[in-house]
Amino acid sequence: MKADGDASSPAGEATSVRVWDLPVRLVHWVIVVLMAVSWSTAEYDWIEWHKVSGYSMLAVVSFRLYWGFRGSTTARFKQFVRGPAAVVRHARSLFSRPERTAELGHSPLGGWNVIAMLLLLLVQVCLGLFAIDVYGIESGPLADWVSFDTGRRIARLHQSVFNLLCVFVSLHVVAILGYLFFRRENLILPMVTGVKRVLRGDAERGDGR
Amino acid sequence: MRASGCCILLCAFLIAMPVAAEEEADQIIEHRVAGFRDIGTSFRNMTTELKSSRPSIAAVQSNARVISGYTAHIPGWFVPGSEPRAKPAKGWFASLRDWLFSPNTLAATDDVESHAKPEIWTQRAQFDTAYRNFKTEAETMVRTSQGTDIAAMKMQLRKLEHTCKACHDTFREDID
Repeated sequence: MKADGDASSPAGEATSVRVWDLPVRLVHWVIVVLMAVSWSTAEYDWIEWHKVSGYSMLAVVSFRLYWGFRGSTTARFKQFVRGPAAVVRHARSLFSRPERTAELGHSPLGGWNVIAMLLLLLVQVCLGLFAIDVYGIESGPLADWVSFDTGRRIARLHQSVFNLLCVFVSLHVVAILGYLFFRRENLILPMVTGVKRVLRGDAERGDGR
Repeated sequence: MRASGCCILLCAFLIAMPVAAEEEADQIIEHRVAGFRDIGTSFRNMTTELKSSRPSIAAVQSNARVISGYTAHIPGWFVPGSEPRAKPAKGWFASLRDWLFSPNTLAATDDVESHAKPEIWTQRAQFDTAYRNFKTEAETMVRTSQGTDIAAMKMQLRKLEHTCKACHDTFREDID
């Protein structure tokens, strides 16, 4: 990540740093929309649109997994999937140090939450491919490979995994609101614009992490 | 001596009676759940058959007959006493666990939980109408499957499905 602010600006001055590349931001907001669409189409029995939403989700999540290896620095798993020591250190710093840490990209805890959400989304769409509705009429495109009973059980699991997803999405949102209100750090705007305002010294620290 | 023996027997009988009734109701519910699952399987088979490029009419026929055959059992699956029972109170952990993973999801065995609503027993006339509509369409499905008109079978399957949904909308818990 390059700081693209004025290189001669003294430490302590705010500068703009590019945090998220365009594909990461697009994928993020498309997933938000698709989750809302998937939930509402399931709730109101618009199964045709639910399927379209599911296929789109499969494509988007697959791309995100690919981008985790080929994307820019903060998009890569290598950058944000951290070991337990880093996670514990980060969790402690959340409560003991109120000042900004100037991390660019996912935090060690948030990174694992992202992994959990992506994996659950992948599991969720794959389950949907085999799910069968209570009438034995509507089903995922691969449901002919399983029996009605198995398809029904998969459909129930499809519901349970959605609940689990809600738990991790809530953690994600609560953490972001926590940053916003307790640490005065807006993480939402950078996910829209791709750019984060940080203090110059912080940017360098964040950069060299 | 004999009188007291009779008394003890009578008492034992009276105490055992509600238990026996409950066991009987359990069995009815078990048959009900298994029966509707069979109906679902036959629905699934017909759907799969009718959307394939070369549907087997014999398969459609046999599955239509299975469903029509079950319609005779349905009144017996909802007799008084087989109503949903009050569920025991759960702690927060069990509630959370059941919200995350419904008991049916975790159950290794088949789904044995009934989703019948108490309205079946309180709005009997409406339930009976819904049942008769289902029975009529199921019988028509059998007749339609005797012919060779695949499009007609598809249409009849749709009609039959609508009678399922109409009844479920009012009388089955909206869980999926």
